[in-house]
Amino acid sequence: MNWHYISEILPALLDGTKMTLSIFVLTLVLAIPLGLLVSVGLHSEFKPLAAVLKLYVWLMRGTPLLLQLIFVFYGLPIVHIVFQRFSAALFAFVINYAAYFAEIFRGGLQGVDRGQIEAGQMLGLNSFQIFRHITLPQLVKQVIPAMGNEVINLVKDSSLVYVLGLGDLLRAGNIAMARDVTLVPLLLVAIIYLLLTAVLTWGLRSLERHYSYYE
Amino acid sequence: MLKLENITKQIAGRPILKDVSFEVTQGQTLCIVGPSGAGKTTILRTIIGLTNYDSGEILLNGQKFIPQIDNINQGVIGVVFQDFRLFSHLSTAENISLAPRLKTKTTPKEIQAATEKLLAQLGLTDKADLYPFQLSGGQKQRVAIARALALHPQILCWDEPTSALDPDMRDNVVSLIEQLKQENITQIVVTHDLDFAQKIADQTYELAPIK
Repeated sequence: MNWHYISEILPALLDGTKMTLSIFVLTLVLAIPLGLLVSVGLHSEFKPLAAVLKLYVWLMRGTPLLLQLIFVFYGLPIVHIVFQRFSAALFAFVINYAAYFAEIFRGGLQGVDRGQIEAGQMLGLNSFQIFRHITLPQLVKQVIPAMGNEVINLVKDSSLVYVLGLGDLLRAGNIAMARDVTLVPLLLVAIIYLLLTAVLTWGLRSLERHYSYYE
Repeated sequence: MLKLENITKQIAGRPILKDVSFEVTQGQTLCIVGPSGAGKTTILRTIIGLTNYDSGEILLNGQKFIPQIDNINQGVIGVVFQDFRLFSHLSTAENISLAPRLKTKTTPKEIQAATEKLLAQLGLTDKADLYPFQLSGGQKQRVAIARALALHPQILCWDEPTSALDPDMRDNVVSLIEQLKQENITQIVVTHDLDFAQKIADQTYELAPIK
């Protein structure tokens, strides 16, 4: 292993990692609350809202994220909605992942015993209090495993931003590989991805353990 | 105290309750008995506002009373469900203090004191930090009672309180109901257990399946 070469390309890879992490963190921060709102909307008794949200979830889950990225950046300007590259990538990721999260939350909401909600109603709690203090904590425990899969997928999916010309980790590795005609950059890219997913897996396991205090 | 007059309900065209009328006075224990399918739980759910009725009238202290869930009838009726329905993510003390914390203007110190008093009253002091899955059936039931009593309801409803308990625990429920009766709490108990009803009831209302 040529340590000198590694030290030369590592700064570029770490710069790419910053982009990967930016997309990852911002998508999570924005898509989780949006997904939660959508999942509540999917249960809405106002049928047109539920129907529109179902269509949204179907569209997002039924088409590739790569296509959505291209559509947001190159397609939306046709209707005068113009995004910068990073904003376009973030927007596409957020609306895509919010749809997946909404489906996970929807399943989780269905898993919360109706009796728990009735018990809250009988204590005089209003709908928001029931959601905040009864449904949501129980929902979180139920969705952690499924969310964990999506979160790890998100780290890897973030490499799709290359299609918009953004310099993420994989793109930095690809550039170095093409320039230096060696697979070492991609090996390093793989190691960085593995480290990221290892940290996330550890975090998710800790979260699962935290919520295992009750059955 | 609470009077039901000719309460009638149909579900999908099938009569479930027909002209159900009874009255329970302050501090009394009324048992609603009858076989499975007679509508015992439905009448209880009607009283607590979880099920609507088609016709008839409910009076509370002589005034028309419309059972409602949410905060409208808060403090009027408490309920101990057959399956207890404790909040599985909250400890015993948290189960009891949740509603007072969210629905009353009492200070955290006062809520803590009231919770500790209820825990002691129901013999749960050493279970305060345990979660529902760590409690026995009888202990869960006592937590459910404490949770209902925390809002000082005028009427406490019980749905099949002995169905999930062994004979020893059944005797404990008899004692608990007697204890609450001494505190002048009006109780409505739905049960299929006639022997149990005989032990606790000041009056009994028998529901028969509608043919």
